[in-house]
Amino acid sequence: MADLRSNQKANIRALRKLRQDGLLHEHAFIAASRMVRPISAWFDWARRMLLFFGSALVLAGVIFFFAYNWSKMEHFLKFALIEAGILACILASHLRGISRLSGKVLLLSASVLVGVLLAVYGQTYQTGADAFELFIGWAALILGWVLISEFSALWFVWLILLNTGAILYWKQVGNPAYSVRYEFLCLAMALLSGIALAFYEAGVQQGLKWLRSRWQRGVLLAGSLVALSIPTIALIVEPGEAKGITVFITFTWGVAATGGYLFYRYKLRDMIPLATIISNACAILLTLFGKAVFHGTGHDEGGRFLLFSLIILAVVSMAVFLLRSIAAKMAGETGKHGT
Amino acid sequence: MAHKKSLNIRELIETLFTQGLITPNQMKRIASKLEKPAEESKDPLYIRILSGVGAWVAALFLILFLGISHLLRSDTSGIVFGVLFLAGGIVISRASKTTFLNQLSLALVFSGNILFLMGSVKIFQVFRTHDLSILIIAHTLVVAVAYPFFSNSIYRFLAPTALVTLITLWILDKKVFSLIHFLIAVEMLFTGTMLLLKKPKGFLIPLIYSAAIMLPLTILFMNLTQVEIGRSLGRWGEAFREPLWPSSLLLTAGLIYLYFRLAGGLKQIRNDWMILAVLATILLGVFTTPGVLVAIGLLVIGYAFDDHTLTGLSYLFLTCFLVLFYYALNINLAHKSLVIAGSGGVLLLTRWVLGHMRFERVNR
Repeated sequence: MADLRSNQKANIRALRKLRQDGLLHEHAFIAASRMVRPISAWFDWARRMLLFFGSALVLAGVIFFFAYNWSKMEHFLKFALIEAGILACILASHLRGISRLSGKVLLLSASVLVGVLLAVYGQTYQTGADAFELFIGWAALILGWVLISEFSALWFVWLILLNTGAILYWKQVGNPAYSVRYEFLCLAMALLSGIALAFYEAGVQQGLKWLRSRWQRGVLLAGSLVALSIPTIALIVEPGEAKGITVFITFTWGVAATGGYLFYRYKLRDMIPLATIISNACAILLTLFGKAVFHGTGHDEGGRFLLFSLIILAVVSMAVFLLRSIAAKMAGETGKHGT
Repeated sequence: MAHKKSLNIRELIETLFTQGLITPNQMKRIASKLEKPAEESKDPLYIRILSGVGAWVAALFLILFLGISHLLRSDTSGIVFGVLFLAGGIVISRASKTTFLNQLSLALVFSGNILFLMGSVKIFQVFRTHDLSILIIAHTLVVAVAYPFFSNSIYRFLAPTALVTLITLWILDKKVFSLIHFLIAVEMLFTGTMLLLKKPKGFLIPLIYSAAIMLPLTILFMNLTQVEIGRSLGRWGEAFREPLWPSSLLLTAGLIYLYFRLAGGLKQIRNDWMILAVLATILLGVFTTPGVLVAIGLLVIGYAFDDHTLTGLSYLFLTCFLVLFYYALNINLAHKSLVIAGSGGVLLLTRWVLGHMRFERVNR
């Protein structure tokens, strides 16, 4: 439960805490709840959620519908339906205005329908194109809408398309045809997330309202760090297999983790990215210890497992201790600076 | 009464006082509570996740250590080590609050629980008879003993969740699919009762979150057995032939009860918005699949209680559910499309009516 401070913004959680502690009676709690969250707030929330959930379900239903590959339905009818859907969404988005949430969701819907159109095109004409082309083409076709949308969910969908396209390119073309090593794929994915994160932070600094929610920060940072961690772990586990690019990515991981720590610790003071970085560092550190403990053969196989178990506990305890102390320090600093 | 500027707690309490809703004595007690330095609050979610994952992995290596050291050879060794580890974990957690010892106690209790289950399996030869019931009994026993004495919230959250997972697997294993509806009814009642407690005791909080995750977990498991990977598991992957309408019906009734409960009782039926919510939910119950109703229920409770964990769980569950539902092989895509798009249509129609109602109200 949250700690209560008098200057803290009143919210339902704080009121529930007061009621739980026996400091607010039921009628006072109800009256306070209505002040903090009047019925108009419930209406706004309900309309927003009905739009999100309703649109997500309708779009999923449309995808399911065309994935069924109706043999009795004429090709042209399929194309006409999807294209009409795209046009309707764009037109409605224009009429509503993309500054409104419904306009943004309609733009997102049109973007998803472009992917459905490309999939049905491939299904109908059996073009023989690789799947990565669908995703890259899809991302390219909707780029204009993404740029004007001011909608983080659409940006996120676009990034997923690019990442999926990159993975499929490496799997279908890069690796089999040109023997491109997996490290390059990891680097590309880390760069995609990293660049997106840099733009996100720049946008936040500029005060862009549509970037207010913080979940993107954690997801993008985790995406970047995980992609860099795979070659780093591989370098630790099998150093004999490593190439120059593996060492370069390991170095990049070190720079990204250190830079990220300093930036989110001292500049932005945000615990979620710090927890992401520290958890990621734990995984790398444990791989390093694991390699040291299990390397080579010895008589006491069981003892190594016991030792490694204790090492895991020690490393995680250190991380937990570190996170707690950083959180406490940051809370103190925030109080001191009055921010 | 809508406030344009958001109030802080002190201003809100003062308003309540001026309206005569709290006594001077209560006002004094609240003020003294607010002036007290912040108590040492519980760890945030990210620390608990890190701590839980770390203890889990450490527990697995502990068990591997016992296995490789040939300490689990006899039939009873699993149970003996299980009891020892559980007792050790509980004693350590009560004796010390240092971070490392807390982690160690959690790892010991995790491994003790697993070892006890492994020991029970060995003694009753579960794998020969393909009977999961002994695992359920053994785990219930461990949870019943460990929950009151071991105050770690991560264990208190995970252990009941694992119990429900085992029960779901047992139903699928025994192919008594009709029991799924019974399980969903029990979970719904339990979750509702726990979440709607006005003054929950501290030790029940992890169980409340565990209850909140049970329903989505059962629904996901049901779907998981119908996808390609699930079917390759053999016995658990056989077609799920039970119609889902009884669960949809139960969940629809549960959701409607929730609306009334949160809105302040049956008298709210006179409000047009409540009639709309009830009608939309009934229509949704006719159209949809239980997964969508569960996601909506979590979303509503999450918002009502300002609980971001439940809200996040609702989003995450809906995403996972839609992905698994797409790949489920027990019904065709055309049917799924109708169910999902129809549900979405009902929600969008409700939104339109809600907007229209508000417009009418503003005009009046």
